[in-house]
Amino acid sequence: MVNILIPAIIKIVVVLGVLLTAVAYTTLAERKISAYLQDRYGPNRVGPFGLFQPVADGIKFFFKEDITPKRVFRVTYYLAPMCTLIPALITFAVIPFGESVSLNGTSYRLWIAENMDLGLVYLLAVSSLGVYGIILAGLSSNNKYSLLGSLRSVNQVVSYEIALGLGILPIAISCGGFNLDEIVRAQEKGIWFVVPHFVAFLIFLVAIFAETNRLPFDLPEGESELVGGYHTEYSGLRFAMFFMGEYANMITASALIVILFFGGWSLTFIKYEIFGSILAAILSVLVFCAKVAFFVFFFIWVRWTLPRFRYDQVMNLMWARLLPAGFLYLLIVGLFYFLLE
Amino acid sequence: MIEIYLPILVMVLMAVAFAFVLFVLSYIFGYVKKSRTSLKPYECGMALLDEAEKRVSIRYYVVLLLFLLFDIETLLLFPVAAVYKEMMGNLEYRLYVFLELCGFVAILMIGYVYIYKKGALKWE
Repeated sequence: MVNILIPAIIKIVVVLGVLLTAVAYTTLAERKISAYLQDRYGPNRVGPFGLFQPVADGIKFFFKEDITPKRVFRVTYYLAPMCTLIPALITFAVIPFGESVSLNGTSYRLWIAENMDLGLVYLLAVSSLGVYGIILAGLSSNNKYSLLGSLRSVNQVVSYEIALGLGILPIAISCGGFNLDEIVRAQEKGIWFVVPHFVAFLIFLVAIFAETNRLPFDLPEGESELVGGYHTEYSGLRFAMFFMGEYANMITASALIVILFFGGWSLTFIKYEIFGSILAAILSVLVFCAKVAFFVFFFIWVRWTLPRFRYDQVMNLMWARLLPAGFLYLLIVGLFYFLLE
Repeated sequence: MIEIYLPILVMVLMAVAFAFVLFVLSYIFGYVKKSRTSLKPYECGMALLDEAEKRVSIRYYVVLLLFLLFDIETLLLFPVAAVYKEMMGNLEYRLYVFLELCGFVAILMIGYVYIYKKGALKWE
């Protein structure tokens, strides 16, 4: 019991710390990259290159007016931000982020829930719990913008969850399971899954953009129509909790893309065995972080490049394109393995 | 066997604690000005027109129902995906398994085409 618990707690604290810091700096990256894409400087007053901007923002959030509007339904109004933040933080539990490291003869895996065979199912289940935060926020705020935003958001997130499942199924067939570590191992030996499963990759990518409510799917927030969407009535740290949840989801989504389709921490031509155990672990974590950072950059890049969809286009894309395409691709993969023998 | 889920339990507890601490902190530090206007529902600059309890489009409801259906169907495919490759190695059953998969998806697609033709997914 204890020899499981202590390494687990250390890993959890480190992962949560890194995740929250990454969330803070992703907001800075978002503002910096958008600025450079639009030929501006972006935040550059607080610290060198604005590097302390997230700290200043955080402190500011603490001292903002903590408004509870008069006619909201208080219980769910207070619960909603937590319901968004908690699932966003705990999804990282099943993501393996490096080679295992051996210290004093014991081998530790860089993975919070070690050897969890149902990792992908857990991920899908927990990430769909985030919908509750959105729906509670919209219903309890007693504001039409919040209500409309949350309706749109729930419908969109829930619809694209099917596409998410359909993007994962071919990978599960290829690996024969939902263990994320085995998925990485399978790509370590052969080729990254993005090449054989390119269709699944496209479906998954579109679905994960919609799941995280990022542009071009940011209709729930569509600031020109709905002010702020479901978090219109929130201020101070409660608003920050929604914000952190959103960015944490984005980072987890990038990590998931990397693991499922881009080989996790593996580099195809370099085997980590040639380094020592500790060096290999550090290198693998760095490689993993670099890949995740690239996809976070990709999320931001897309956001500042593409315009927003119309709502009927969002729904059509899902129900008339991705759904049949996903099932068709599933059958093709099934046929491929049938003919392979 | 069950203890592999222990770290997840610990992580859930920590995340809940973190969210709760943030909540309490905003309660303590958040500066409260008992102002009149900030307690009203937000509206873009003009006087508040009406409350939020409006009727919303029935489309949302239809799509949520369809989601329940199709999501359960994809969930039923998850165990199939887990054993599919293994089953393909079994010469006796492989044709059966493959046809079963095709049949499942075909029945699903018949329902899908029906829904689509009925116009349940049309947004105007």
